[in-house]
Amino acid sequence: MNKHLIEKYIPMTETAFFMLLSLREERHGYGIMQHVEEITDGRLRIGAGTIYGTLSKMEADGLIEGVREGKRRKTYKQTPVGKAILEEEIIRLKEMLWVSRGTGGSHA
Amino acid sequence: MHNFKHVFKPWFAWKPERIEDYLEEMAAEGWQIDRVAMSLMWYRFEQSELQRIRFCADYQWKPDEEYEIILQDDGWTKVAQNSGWLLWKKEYEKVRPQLYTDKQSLIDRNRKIILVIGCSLLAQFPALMTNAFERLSLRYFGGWSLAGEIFSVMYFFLVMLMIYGLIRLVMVNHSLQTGS
Repeated sequence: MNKHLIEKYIPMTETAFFMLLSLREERHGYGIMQHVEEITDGRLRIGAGTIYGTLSKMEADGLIEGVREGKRRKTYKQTPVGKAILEEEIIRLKEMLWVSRGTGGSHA
Repeated sequence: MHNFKHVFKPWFAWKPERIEDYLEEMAAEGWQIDRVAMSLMWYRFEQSELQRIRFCADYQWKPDEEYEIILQDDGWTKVAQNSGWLLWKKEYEKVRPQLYTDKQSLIDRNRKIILVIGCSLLAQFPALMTNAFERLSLRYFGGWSLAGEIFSVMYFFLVMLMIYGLIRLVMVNHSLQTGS
């Protein structure tokens, strides 16, 4: 995988993580906003400017691809590259959790 | 009976909160924007009912249809637009809405502004040099004029303002990056 992309996206910001995660399914910008709010129990409400900026960046980097059908809203979906980056980040998160449990974390 | 108020409110790219907060205060006092002019710095307000409105000034290289759709879906209304700058508003009750909820997107946006100011500064250099030589030769060989001098001074201040703005924006991004 592209080393430059790994360096750019990992570790991932919470915003990027949840946006990329919600793009396992095809969604439009506002749909992503609603879905992220839903899966985080209303905790994370991403601003519209942040959504647009992040979508443009991820599309330019090939993590997601946008589809526009006629006059309808542009929708986005993860690409195989985006999927691989997300999986890489999940491995990192799992390792953090694993290590914190192993070092006597009584919370786990 | 209409009650109007005209206000000239200068603000700069490194601190859009100045205009955002001012417009919010005006709306809270019942002054609604009626007209906007002069690079989003001149406003005509009309007296009406008190409202709680969040204003956001944003910068985009080119006004993209997709950008406007996402903001409108989220309940924002475009108030005005001028050379890359867009002024948005959204009514709210409890939670004050934000266009940007993460640091990275703000840093990216500020970088665009830095690039635009930087490029136009670079483009000024030939004009600056020509101007400086012209001033010198006019002073020594005659043809000096007050209008020419005033123009040069104003031009010089404009360039200084751009350099100052550039430095302030770089500082804003630096503090965003280091989280201070």
